[in-house]
Amino acid sequence: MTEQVKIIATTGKGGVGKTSLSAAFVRILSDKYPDRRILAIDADPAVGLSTALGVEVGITLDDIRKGIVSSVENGRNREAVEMLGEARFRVLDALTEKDGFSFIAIGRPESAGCYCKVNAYLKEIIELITKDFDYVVIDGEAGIEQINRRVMEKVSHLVLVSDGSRKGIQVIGTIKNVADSLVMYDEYGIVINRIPAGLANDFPGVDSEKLLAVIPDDPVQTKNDMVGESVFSLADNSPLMEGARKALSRLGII
Amino acid sequence: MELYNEFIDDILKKAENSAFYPYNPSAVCDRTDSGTLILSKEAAFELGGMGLPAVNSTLFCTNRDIKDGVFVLGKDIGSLTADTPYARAAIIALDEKAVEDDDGVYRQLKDIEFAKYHVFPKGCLIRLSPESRREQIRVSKKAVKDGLSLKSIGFTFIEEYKKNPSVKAVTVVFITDPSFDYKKLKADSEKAFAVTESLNKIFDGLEISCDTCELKAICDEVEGLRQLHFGKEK
Repeated sequence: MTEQVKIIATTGKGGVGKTSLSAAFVRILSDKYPDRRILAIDADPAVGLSTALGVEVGITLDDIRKGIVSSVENGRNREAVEMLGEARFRVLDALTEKDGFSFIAIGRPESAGCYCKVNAYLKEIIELITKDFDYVVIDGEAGIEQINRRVMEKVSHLVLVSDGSRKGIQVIGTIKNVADSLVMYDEYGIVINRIPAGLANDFPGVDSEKLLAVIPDDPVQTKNDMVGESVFSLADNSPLMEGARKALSRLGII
Repeated sequence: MELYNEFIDDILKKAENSAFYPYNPSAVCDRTDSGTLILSKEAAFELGGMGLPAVNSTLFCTNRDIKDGVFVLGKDIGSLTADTPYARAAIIALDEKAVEDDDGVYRQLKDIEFAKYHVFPKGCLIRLSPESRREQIRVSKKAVKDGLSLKSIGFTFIEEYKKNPSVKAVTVVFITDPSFDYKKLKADSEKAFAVTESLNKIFDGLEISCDTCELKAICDEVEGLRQLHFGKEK
């Protein structure tokens, strides 16, 4: 384990390919660093990263949260240390270990009401787990507040993902402003994804210094998504894999 | 305090022919601050893993001759090769003064019990569930190679419990013998837990009618609780 865990979070507008890119990051890191500990966190309630990585999701962190909330609601009042102990106990059951990486899903929050105490413990647990990994890749839902609210306070590398649309680029601009105000990252970069063939690589509003990669639209990847194939079935020289590799290299991670 | 004596007698009787290691403070495990994650691929085995029995029990007394040390019923870590049933009982002898203050005794017992959440021996991952009263230990391959033992883990628990000045002595009983009656131990652990919880309610004076009290069953079963309750009412 390294002293400083590298936490890479992808974020951006819905449908721009964050999940595929996150999965590609996990594949590249697990290929390049087979002896390191790599954790993939699916922070999107749609739990798409599991499919992209070929992982079957068992229990999620929200299942654990709901279980603890339910026991509290049933009158079994727990002290802070016990609640943390229970969360620590159960979280290991939610961790799926695959060849080369581990996976955990945040899940879908469904319980009504405020359970800040439980959420706070879960966040603490995630932070306890991530400290034991070398690389953590987080596939977030659209927007960055969710990372702050339910997953972790800070990431080392923020990857803003957009398609070529003006709206997509506006969204990553907004997300970056929020992230700046919360001091949530050490470094950031932009990936423009799914660019149709023949379209110029000129994106108004994108700082070219921070442009990590431009990934062309790939029919093979689109088909992969449709049939639910994992990124491990993609060719190593596919546009997605090459773009993801370029992005990690420019961030200094590989 | 005699409330847990029945459970203490039972477990000490079962342990009497097993190896006993007197506490040696210089033989405790190396520790980490907040625990280390051990992945399955890095683990040699997990005590209480794979749905096997895994019981944790904390028992208190004031009037027993408890010695600082560790019993191991069954194989120690160095002789194990696969997941195995597992239990750990801590028998904690307290200073009489610690239980003199009726209103503070529950808090005192819980604070001592919570010491178990602060024991993080290097090379293993101890998981404790207050809900199910399960305790599991995932042991890394490296720790097995380095000679980690239940004896040294037990010493580490004793070291932690004894940080509380009210703790006079601690006997830790580890069980890995597959033929042990874990079902009964689990049931006793549930009862011991209920006894501790009932102290909170009794000393709070929240319930004064046995007919409606949800703790009636445990009060009826554990000699001393009813007496304690009515003593408090007076």
